[in-house]
Amino acid sequence: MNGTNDIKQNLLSQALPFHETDIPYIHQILYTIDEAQITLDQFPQLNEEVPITVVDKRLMT
Amino acid sequence: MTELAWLPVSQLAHLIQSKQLSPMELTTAVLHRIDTIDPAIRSYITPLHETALNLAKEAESDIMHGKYKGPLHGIPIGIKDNYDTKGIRTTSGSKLFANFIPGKNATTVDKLLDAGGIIVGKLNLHELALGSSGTNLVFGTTRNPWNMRYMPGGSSSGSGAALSAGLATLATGTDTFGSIRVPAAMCGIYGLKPTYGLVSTYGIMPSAWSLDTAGPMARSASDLAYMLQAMAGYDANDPASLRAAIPDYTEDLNKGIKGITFGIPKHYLEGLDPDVARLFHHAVATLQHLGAEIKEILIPELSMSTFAGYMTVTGEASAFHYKWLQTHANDYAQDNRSFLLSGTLTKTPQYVKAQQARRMLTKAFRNAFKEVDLLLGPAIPATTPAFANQWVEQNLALIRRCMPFTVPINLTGVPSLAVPMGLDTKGLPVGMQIIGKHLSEKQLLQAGSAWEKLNPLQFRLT
Repeated sequence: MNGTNDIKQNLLSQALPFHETDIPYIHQILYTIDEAQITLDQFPQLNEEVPITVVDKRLMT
Repeated sequence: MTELAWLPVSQLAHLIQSKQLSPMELTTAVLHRIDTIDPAIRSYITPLHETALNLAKEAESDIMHGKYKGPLHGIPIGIKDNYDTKGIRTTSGSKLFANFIPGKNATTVDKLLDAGGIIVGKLNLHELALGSSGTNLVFGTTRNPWNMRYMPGGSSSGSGAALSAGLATLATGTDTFGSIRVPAAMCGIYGLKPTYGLVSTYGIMPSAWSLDTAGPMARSASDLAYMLQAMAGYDANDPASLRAAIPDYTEDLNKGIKGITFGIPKHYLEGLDPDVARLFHHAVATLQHLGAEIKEILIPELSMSTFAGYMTVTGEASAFHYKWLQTHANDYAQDNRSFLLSGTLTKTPQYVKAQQARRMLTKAFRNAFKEVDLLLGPAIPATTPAFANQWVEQNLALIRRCMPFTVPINLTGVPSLAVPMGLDTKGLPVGMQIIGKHLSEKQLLQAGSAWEKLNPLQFRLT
C-alpha cells in the first residue's frame, strides 16, 4: 500500500506537489509508522478506550 | 562584564533590586556577547538591540523609583521565534513566515514583559519547530557551543545554544515531541516541558495542537522556577488552558530529595548509547546517595508511544499546513516537507487509534504514579551527533530514535524536567529527564534543584 507509485498517486490526487527525492523519506516515515502500529496488537483491550480528542468544554456551556 | 552573562537569576535579582547592578549594564553585557559570539553560533535570528535597551532603560527607571517588579525585572530573555512579538518579525524559522510581523504578543511574551523581563532577541529554531537537529537552511543552522561541529538539538536549538554560550539568562522554548528536552540535553542546560495547558500557547505557531507545550529553559532548575512563575496561568484565549492554582515554584527548591521514590521504566533503559547508559547509571547511584529511593518499574503501554506520537504529530501538523503544502511546497525544507506529506497519507482510523492509545498510556502513567513519586530516564538515548552531510536523513533518523523517549510525555500531558547528567567521551553534554504527574512542577523543580547543587556540568566561560 505504501509503495513508491502508491505514494506518488495519492499525493497527486490531493494536489500536493513533491520532489522525486522526497519519496524515499516519506516511504521511510510510513514504514516506521506501520512497524510501530504492530505494538498495538499487544493491547487487545485498546478498542475499549475512548479516543483523547481536543474538546473545549467552554463551547458547550 | 562577561561574568554577568553567566550569573543565575537569584544573584542577578539581588544585585538589581539592591541597585548594585543596573539592567542597562546587564543588558549591554549580554548584547555585547551576542554581537561578538553569535555570528558563529547563530542562536539568534533577530537580535533586538534597540528593543532590549529601551526595556532596560525603562526597568532601570522603574527600579530607581521604587517600582521593583520581582526576580525577572531587568533579566535578559531570549524568545524562541515561533512566539508572536508585536511589531517584531516572527519567522517560526521558516521561509513561509520570513516576513510575518504579528499585531500582538503571545500571552507568555506579555507575561514575561509584565514581570519586567528584557527581550534581547528572537531565537533560532528548527524550521516550524518540527525537527530535532536544529538544521535551518533559511536562517542558518545553529551550532552547539560545546563543539561547533555538533548539533545543538531541536527544535529549540537557539534557546539551548544561547543559554550554554551565555547569550541570554533565560529563554523560552516549545515542546511537541521533545523540542525543549532534546536541546537541553545536547547543550547541557535545564529545560522544563510543563503540564499540557499550564502555560498558554496563545500566539505561538501551532505544530500539533494536542501536544504543543510552551515552557522555560535556563542554566539551572531554580532559574526555571522563577521563569515558570511568570509564564504559568490560565488564559481565556487558549482553549487548552488549565484553570489550575499556581503554587510558589521556588518554595521547595532547597528541600532536597531524601525520601522521594523515583521509578525507572524499563523501556527507558533500552537502546542507550554506551555513554548515555554509563552516565545514567552513575546519576541513579548519586540520587540514591542523596537519599532517594529507586525502583525499576514496568509500563508496557510505552511501547505504543512511537505509533501514537508519529500519527498525532504528522496528522495534526499536516492538517495545519495542508493548504501551504499545496501552494508553497518549495518553501519547506526537505525533511519537513517529507514529514508533513507523510501525514497526508496515513488513514483516519490510524489517527483515532493513536488517540485511544494515548488514553491507555495516560492511565498507565497515573497508575505508575501511585507506586512512585517521580519517573526517571535519559532525556534521549543518543549522545549528541556531529552534523552530517545527509542532513535530511540525519534529522529524520534522530526523530525516529528519540521519539520513544520524548513523546510519551507529550502524549500524556505530564511535565518533564531535562537536566544535565555529565559529559560524554567526546566532551559533549548528556541529559536525563525527571517526569512527574500532572501539575507536579513544584516537586520536579525541587528534585532538579537538588540535582543542580551537585554541579553536574561546570559551565565554561567563552
